[in-house]
Amino acid sequence: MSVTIVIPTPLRQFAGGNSEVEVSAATAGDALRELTTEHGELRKHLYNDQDKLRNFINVYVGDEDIRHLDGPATVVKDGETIMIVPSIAGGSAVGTRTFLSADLDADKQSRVPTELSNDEIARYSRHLILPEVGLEGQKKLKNARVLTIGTGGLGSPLGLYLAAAGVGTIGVVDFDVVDSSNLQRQIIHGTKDVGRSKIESARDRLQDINPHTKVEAFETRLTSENALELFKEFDVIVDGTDNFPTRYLVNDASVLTGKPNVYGSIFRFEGQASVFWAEKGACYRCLYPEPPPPGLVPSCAEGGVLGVLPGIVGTIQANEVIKVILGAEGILLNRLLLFDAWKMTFRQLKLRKDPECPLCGDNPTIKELIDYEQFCGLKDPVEAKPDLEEITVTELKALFDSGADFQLIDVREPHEFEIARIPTAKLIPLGEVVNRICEIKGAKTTVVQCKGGVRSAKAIQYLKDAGFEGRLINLKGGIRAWSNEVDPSVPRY
Amino acid sequence: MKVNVLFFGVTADIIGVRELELTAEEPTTAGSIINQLSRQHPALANHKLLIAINEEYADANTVLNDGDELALFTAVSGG
Repeated sequence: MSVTIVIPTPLRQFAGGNSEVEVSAATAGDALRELTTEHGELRKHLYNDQDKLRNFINVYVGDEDIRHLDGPATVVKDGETIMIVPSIAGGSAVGTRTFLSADLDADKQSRVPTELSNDEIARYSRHLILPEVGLEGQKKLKNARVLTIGTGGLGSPLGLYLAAAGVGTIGVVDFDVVDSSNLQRQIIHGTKDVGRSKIESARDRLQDINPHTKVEAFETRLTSENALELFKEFDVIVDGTDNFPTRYLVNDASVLTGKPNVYGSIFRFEGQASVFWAEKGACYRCLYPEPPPPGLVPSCAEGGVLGVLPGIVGTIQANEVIKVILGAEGILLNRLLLFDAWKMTFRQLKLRKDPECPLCGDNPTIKELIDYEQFCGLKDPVEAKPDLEEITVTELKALFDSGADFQLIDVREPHEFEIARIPTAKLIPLGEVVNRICEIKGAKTTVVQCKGGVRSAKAIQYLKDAGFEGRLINLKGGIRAWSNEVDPSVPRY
Repeated sequence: MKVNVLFFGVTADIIGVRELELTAEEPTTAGSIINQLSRQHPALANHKLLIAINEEYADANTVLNDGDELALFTAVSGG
């Protein structure tokens, strides 16, 4: 008889990381013996010194606790599933879960064999009549634990669809607060949520969509210190972050804990998606061995993003998460999907696992999490340009009030200039400053300004490199700070 | 020979178009096409470009054939 033993998360580390082990046995007791013969380390976790099953270990055959059947002598049929379920009271003895801000309770730690209530059967009926999902698949979804990193543009549709689909446990990690500029695309949050923590807002919305879904909220920044411990508790990781350091962190922690990483990323009108899963194919580092130099690829805040784009990419991620859970073929493995919302085209690139990959290749050199800010070059002090002179918006206001003779150059784009401007500013977009250098009077003091102070610093660098000799001063915080601190009538965008 | 070059993300911003047909001397590698483009658009050289040839991830040393499609893109981080 071939039976499948389902290993609970805390014990997987002693079973070669497997969530399921197939053995050949006639009774539940034999099956567990087979299991502990194959994975010796498990023995002491399942059996006491008297060679009896430990009392905090519950074993289920089908939907029944074997204590209510014939104990270890319970006969198992070919193809049947045996579940090891650490009991609620004793759960901490086998799996300690020390993650701080998690609002977990004990029953979430163990996987009780799943049944669907009549309510749930009605709710998921359109899934249940799909042969590809069916009752079995729906139970897999209910048993699944999915961790979504970020509740922003990608995390919003992703979370909504995973909850709606009946994923049993959704972990959400975020530390941010809902801002009104998020609402154009982060549809998990509403107008009433502005100012609330994203995690609270997301939890309410997910619970409203599906009260059967357990939401585990982690109001924290994902770091090299907490990622591994957190990832171990989940089956699938979904990357909905918005910056490179966290993307490398999510990838590395996924590879080190053996989890699939369902990836999505967006830029203006373009999206990328893939399933990175080192055990089965390429990881993020096989595709992008090194991060781009800092500041070269604009973020959504700098470059803008079409609101519906993360909706499309995030739902593609949700689709792949569900397929990974269902064990479907045809997941987006070893393929990078490139989507262009403006041209409305989908393309896919074939990827291969890189044997030289420092993380998942043949001779890995990365065996633990590193400092990702440093890896992405973000710790090189930006003030490395010691000759960059800066002023604050209040100092600029004082300059205006004193009647000083200076020029203000705005290096944003024309459409941004349309939205808001600081009085007297002359518009020369960043891409044109060098060509239009003669329009900037070298004899006068020049204050250079953009939205937040980054592009203007670049413009100053370009001008200096091009041989501009006048005095150039960067406006710290740009027009955003001007609006916040000097003139609130200037719109913030 | 002719090569059709597609630009994604920041590379499209730099070149100003999303698609370009280039003529090159044979034999030509993906890298030499990028060098050719970088001479006209120096900002391209600042980026770690990823390359796909005929929809397959490739490296800069790959030799191109007449009619190949070369796609250039960068990592993006938005979410």
